[in-house]
Amino acid sequence: MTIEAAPLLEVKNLSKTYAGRGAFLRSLMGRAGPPLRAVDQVSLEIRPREIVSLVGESGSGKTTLGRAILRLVEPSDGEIRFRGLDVRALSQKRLRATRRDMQMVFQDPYSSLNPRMTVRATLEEALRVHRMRPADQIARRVDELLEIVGLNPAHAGRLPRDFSGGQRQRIGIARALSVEPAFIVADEPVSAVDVSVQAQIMNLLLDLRDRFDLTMLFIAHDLSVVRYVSDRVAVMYLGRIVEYAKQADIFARPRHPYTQGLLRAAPRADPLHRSTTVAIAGEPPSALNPPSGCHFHTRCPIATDLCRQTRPLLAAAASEHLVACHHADHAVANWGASAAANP
Amino acid sequence: MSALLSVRNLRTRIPTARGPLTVVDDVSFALEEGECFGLVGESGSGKSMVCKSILRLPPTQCAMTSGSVEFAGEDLLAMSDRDLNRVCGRQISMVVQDAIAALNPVLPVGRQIGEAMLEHGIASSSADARQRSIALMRKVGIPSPERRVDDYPHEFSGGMCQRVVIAAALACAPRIVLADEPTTALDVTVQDQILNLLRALRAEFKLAVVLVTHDMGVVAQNCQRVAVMYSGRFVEVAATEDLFRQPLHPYTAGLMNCVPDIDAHAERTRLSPILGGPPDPADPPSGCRFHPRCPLATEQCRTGEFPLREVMPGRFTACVRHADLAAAGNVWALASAESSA
Repeated sequence: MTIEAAPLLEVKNLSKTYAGRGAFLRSLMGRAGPPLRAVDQVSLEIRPREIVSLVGESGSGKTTLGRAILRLVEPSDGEIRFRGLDVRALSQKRLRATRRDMQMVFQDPYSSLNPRMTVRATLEEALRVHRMRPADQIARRVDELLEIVGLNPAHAGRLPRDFSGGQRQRIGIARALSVEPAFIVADEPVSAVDVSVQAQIMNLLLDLRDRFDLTMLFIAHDLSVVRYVSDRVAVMYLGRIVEYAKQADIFARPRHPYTQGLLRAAPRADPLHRSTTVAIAGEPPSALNPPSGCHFHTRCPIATDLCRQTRPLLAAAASEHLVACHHADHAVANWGASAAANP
Repeated sequence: MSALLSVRNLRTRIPTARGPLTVVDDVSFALEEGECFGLVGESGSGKSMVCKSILRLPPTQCAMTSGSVEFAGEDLLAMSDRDLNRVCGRQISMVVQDAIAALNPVLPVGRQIGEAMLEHGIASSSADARQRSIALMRKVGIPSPERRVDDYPHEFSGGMCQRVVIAAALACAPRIVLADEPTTALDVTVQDQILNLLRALRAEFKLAVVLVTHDMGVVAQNCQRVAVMYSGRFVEVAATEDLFRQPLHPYTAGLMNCVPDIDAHAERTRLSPILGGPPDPADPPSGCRFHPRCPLATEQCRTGEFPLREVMPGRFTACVRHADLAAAGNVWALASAESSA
């Protein structure tokens, strides 16, 4: 992969704010509650043919960010450039053409498929709406799409309920591919399926990337999955990206204390190296009332007064390694020391 | 040494519209005092049903269950409902996956933790039960329990609800906790906290735990012994270290192969997944139920009977080709190279 390639997708200072609880009534009385910043000034670049993972705990804003990029939820602020085009400024007509180029694969393949439409009808609809093929070639294209995702075209007449979870996820992928997109947001595509099926779906996504030169934003919470599929990894905490680096660097030299904690918390499939201490104490704070300064300071083992007062900005700590921590040098030294103690 | 709990030839069949489903098929194991015994397998393999059958919980209560579950000299499957109620919640308790659904939404959490203590005569009065509930909430790591004891489940996060459920399970100081995917619905950092809590409680109260999970990492980090389930049956039982060093069933080997390594030093090689999907419980394959997905299957595997056998001291497998498996190296990598060639 060429490092110098111009990014396919550029996100700059993107925010998505929801009105606070009871906002409507309170605004009538002139006392609106605090807004919820689901995505808080996020910047991110994704290069062509790259799979970037977005990882974080539930409520960290990763799904909202994925949806905001596709304008499935309208961003509150910031900029999205796809192939250099300002997506937020596009007219409805241009947006529709761009949408074809940017597709989504959902976490729950069952609720994202129409239960009363056969697989053939689902895929035909996408092909027709976007005029992907002349009418007489649509049926053949459906068969082809099913083969691409590893399903038997003879089963195209079945309904979603006739398929297993893994097969439904393949249908969701076929639907995304039907309009020949360049970019796919895959929102937890393997978290609802069994481990044996999970590996099949991940291999399929990796193969499709190679075959169709796809670029992907892969949303996940499972670090082993993330390590397997990603070229680069962005770690989110309470609406902000706290670290963004190449996959190998995130796993070998994590520089943010939160990333380090996530890595330590993941149970290793190795009974000879058992962890005996809690990786990160406490729970993520409420996004309605996030901590001041660095959002992570309430759970961070190395937080100082600076962290409580000032938000650390995402900045380069090493080549292609961005981190938002005032004490990233300290953190990475700690990690090196603990790695040396437990090889 | 006599076991704390002995499950022998447990078979559970559930009547359905499509005919009876055998969800647990001839399962036997012994649980030692203080031990953490893992039950691992994919969804539908019957691992939760093993736990439910032990306490005759729905939907197994009206099921056709055979075999025996011996605890303290008595067979739980043969005793009256009234006698079982003396054991259930008192000596053996259960922690379920969906803690929020397990709690009564209109009852303060303290009342729910205290309920079993009043029922089993551990607490002398409601006031006593309340005090004991506060102490238990503190024990399981719920901050300021004095203030939170009268709160309702919706005022707690998912992780805190799981702690409440654990507190309720521990209320009567049981000997055994059946933990059915206790951390599956939780974030990884909270999972790590809950599993650390369970480990500490096990040591403190000499609790024996049956830990149901689909995550080989959770097994590796927590269990002394583990049973691998497939289609209602135990296909391999071993000490955890032995199992990870050398699996003796192709399904176990396949499960380990499906999970990418997060260790930064491990090479990122292509995964060789188990092909296909788990069998339909209403119409399981003949012979070894894993044979349609198994790279080592022979004609014999399609028809024979393959009960769990002890092939080395403490190592049980249902696979007749376990020696070939050990000799073959990574059968899954070979199988997937063949299928793509």
